Amino acid sequence: MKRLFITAENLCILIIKLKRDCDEFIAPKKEHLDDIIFGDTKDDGGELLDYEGNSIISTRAFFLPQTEPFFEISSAKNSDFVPIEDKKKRLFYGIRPCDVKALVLMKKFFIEDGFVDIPYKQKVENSTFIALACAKRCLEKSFCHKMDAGPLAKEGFDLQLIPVSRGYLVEVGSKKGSQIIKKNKKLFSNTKTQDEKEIKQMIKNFAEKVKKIDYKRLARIMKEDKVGHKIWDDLGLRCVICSGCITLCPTCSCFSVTDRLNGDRGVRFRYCDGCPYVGFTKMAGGSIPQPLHKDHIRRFFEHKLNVDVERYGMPSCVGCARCIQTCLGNINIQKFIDEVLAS
Amino acid sequence: MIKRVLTTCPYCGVGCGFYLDVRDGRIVGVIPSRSNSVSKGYLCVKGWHAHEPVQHPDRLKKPLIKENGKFKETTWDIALDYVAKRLKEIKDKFGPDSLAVCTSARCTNEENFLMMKFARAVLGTPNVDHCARTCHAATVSGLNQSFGSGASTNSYDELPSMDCIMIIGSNPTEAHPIVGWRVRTAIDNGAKIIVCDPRRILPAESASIYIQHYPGTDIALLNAMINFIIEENLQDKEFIEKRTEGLQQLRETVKDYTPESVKDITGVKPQLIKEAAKVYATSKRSCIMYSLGMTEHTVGTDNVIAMANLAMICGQVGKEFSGLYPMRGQNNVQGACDMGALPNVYSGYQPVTDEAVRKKFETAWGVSLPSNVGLTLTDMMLRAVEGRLKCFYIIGEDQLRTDPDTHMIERALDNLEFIVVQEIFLSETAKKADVVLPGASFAEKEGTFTCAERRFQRVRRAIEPISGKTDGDIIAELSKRLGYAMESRPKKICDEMASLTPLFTGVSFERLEENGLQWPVPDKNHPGTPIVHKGEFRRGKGKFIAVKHRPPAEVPDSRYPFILSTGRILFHYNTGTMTSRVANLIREYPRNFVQINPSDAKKLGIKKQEEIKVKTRRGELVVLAEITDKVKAGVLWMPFHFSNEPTNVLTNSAYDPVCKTGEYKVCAASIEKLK
Repeated sequence: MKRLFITAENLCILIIKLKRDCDEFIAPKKEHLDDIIFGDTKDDGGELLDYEGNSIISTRAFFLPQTEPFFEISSAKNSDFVPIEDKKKRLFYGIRPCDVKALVLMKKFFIEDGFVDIPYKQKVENSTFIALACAKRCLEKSFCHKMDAGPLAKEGFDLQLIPVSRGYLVEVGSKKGSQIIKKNKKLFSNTKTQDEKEIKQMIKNFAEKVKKIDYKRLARIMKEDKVGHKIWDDLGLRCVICSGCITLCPTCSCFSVTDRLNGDRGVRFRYCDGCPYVGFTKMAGGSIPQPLHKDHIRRFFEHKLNVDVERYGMPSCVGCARCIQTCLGNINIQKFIDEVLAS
Repeated sequence: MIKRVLTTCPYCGVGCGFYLDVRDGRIVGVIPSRSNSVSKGYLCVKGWHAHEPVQHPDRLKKPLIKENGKFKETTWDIALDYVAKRLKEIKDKFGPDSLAVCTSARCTNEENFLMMKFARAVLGTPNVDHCARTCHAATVSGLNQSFGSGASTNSYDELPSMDCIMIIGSNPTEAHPIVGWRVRTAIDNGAKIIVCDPRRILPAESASIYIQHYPGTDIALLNAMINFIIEENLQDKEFIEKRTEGLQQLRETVKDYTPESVKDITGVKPQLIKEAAKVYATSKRSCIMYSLGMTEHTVGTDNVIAMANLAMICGQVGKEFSGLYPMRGQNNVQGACDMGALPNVYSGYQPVTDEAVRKKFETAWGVSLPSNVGLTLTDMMLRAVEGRLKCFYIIGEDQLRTDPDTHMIERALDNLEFIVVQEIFLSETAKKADVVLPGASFAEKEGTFTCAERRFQRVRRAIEPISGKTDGDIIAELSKRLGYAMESRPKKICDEMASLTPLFTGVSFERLEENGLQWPVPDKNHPGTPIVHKGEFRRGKGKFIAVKHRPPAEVPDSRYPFILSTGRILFHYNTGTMTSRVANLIREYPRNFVQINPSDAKKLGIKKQEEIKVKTRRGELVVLAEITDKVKAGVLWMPFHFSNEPTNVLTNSAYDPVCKTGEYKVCAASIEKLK
């Protein structure tokens, strides 16, 4: 892939120009102390050009927020409602490769896999994605490199920036991306051999002594139900149903829809839902097909590491470690993978 | 427009930090703060959904005045004028002691300070209290006697490094999950966990020792542990010698409690008690974590003292990695106590009977203040039944669902001449009010909450108040109408509070910005106090106080053969006004239930999920049966979160004579199959 070069100063100019063409410029922002969270910096600025680590929430929170209102119900009886649509044009700057890969997987589920989720699709179509490759691993617990999701994004971005010592290398990933380049030609120049050397070294440092996970073997072991039962028992004892994993996971796609009503008026919205809840698969008559809690949390692991390998040819865990970072039971999906593969 | 507003969780007393994710005026989610020193990026299921009830269409938006038994919406001016007029009339006719104020552990410190001031300086009544009465009043009264300070002795962050954590009458996994995470981490780090609980709660599954004693037998259990420790010479002699007093009396008393002699009372094998005592006494870093399982008894204060005795005899207090962790139930119940929303103290536990203290407040506020101790919440209800209390002003508290013996509370409220309730949803208590003033949720106000590790933390406004006013605004406007101008800006109230309170002198909004401050903060540059009683107890020497086992006010008999205990579950919070409006949470537990041991269920022919009737001397309730060996035979357990199936119609209002906390944790009950 042909790469271009941009200096940090020119990148700032590019950002100013890009901000003019969008309603919201979503970029990593420093909040309290060391907290980094994607936020809108279009008007107030404060985006981090480059940063260490990753946003506490992934970009998923913009496409599938925890709660997303669909329409205001002015009268349930008369079926009067006012749609709440999100047609904002958003530019996402500085998304990490793990989250870019997650967006690719989510697109398969919400748009490409037979069923089309209109609110999701609208938001994706109105978005531009500028990825930012990782110069070093973020959380101590992250393992994107083992899941083939870092330090560089392979697809799913319009532009990708790769930090080098004298600025950033730029990769074009789509038509939208090449249009940005075309419009701002003067800001870019050619790369030097030294830049490419730096990237090679960066990738080497990143993945040093690391073996990629044999996810096909992993999926096979899970499919054949050969995971030691002690492992599932332990997960069942640890998970205390905080829902943090399914809320922070960039590839969790489950949701439910409900009405928040006061008499005849209110709002219909969807909310994130998922594996840990008993009620997630409760039948109308109250029966619970899988009554044991360990099986609920197993569902999460099976979906990410087994079912999606069959469905999409790759696991839907991108190794961002957000679930590990927030688990009240100290459940560690990477440790789980290692244990299963070692068995 | 996207806004991220860093604030403090409004649920339990742990005090987690998160951002409210606000988009175009709608709060769509919660983002945990990794930099928050309490929660470090972790949240529980309630916290993850804390935003959902805030903008629920059921929120009260306008003041309501009851006319001919029905509520009518009205304007703020009409409502406030009317409330001011009625308060004045009642005060003039019956005297200030006929008025009572219940502040809110859900509101900010500043609002509690303001309401405490309003009661004493404006209404002139000493009768101010709040729901700590129904939870940790025993901690305040007990630990105060033993140590000289009625709050947690140590900090959360010490927990993962403990060698032994004794959890008694507390279920951190469900009631305080972010502390539960630290317990989990301690287990993963190799700590030994001792769980003493009538129910086999989750930590019991990973515990080294699990003691399933009968509800209401804690003193027998603890005294037997102390007895064994003395018997085996495992006590910390140096600590006892240097830092405590009164051992002799304790030694005499615990002679009557051997692990063997308490076997029948507690239902616990002597060997288990011995093992627990040994592990606690011989571990280098031991602490005790407790909660309402210890305090909501007629012997609540003594229970707390018994734990203090155990900690002191082993020298496991007054140093890092030790101590007592009373896990507080509400976001700001620590703060409401700290702010003097109690009938006997001003902010920072300064006694109302101390003339110098009263003079200080009189000078600052420019009024004369009542010199007597006021009524506790428990006494307010009793006085109301007798007809001696005429008016009750309640903020953010649903006594009709939270206090024991609902029918008695109903009689009390029905007997009052005038009730004002400040609420965010129309609670059962609010339905009894003459005037309902719509308050503001945590997301609509500036201020501070104080969590269970004595840490002041900031609360910040994410959206404008839905009703147009915060609770602080309402109090200040009423006060103005009653002829007394009060500062209503939270930052200024905090400054006023700090200037009048030696314990919190160094507290200010500016200093709380980073990660809050743990009190005592005696001066402007003081860094806060993660560990209390280091080197010396607040009262000087730690005091051993001999306490004896007394059976609960009600014990099983042939008519009511079961012991009924009550408590919390993970998915709901108190009366469920908020959690029942969260889709994920209500779906997990939409209805009340009673836990019953399989052997009892079999005897009575009860099937799982069958509707059965639970009866006590005070009331009856039909709920679903959950058959589980988590409770012993002879013991029933129910949560109290369901407003339309209210458990407290069953519970006993018998109370601890010192702190007046009701005995929610034990009463005698029977169960019947429906015909």
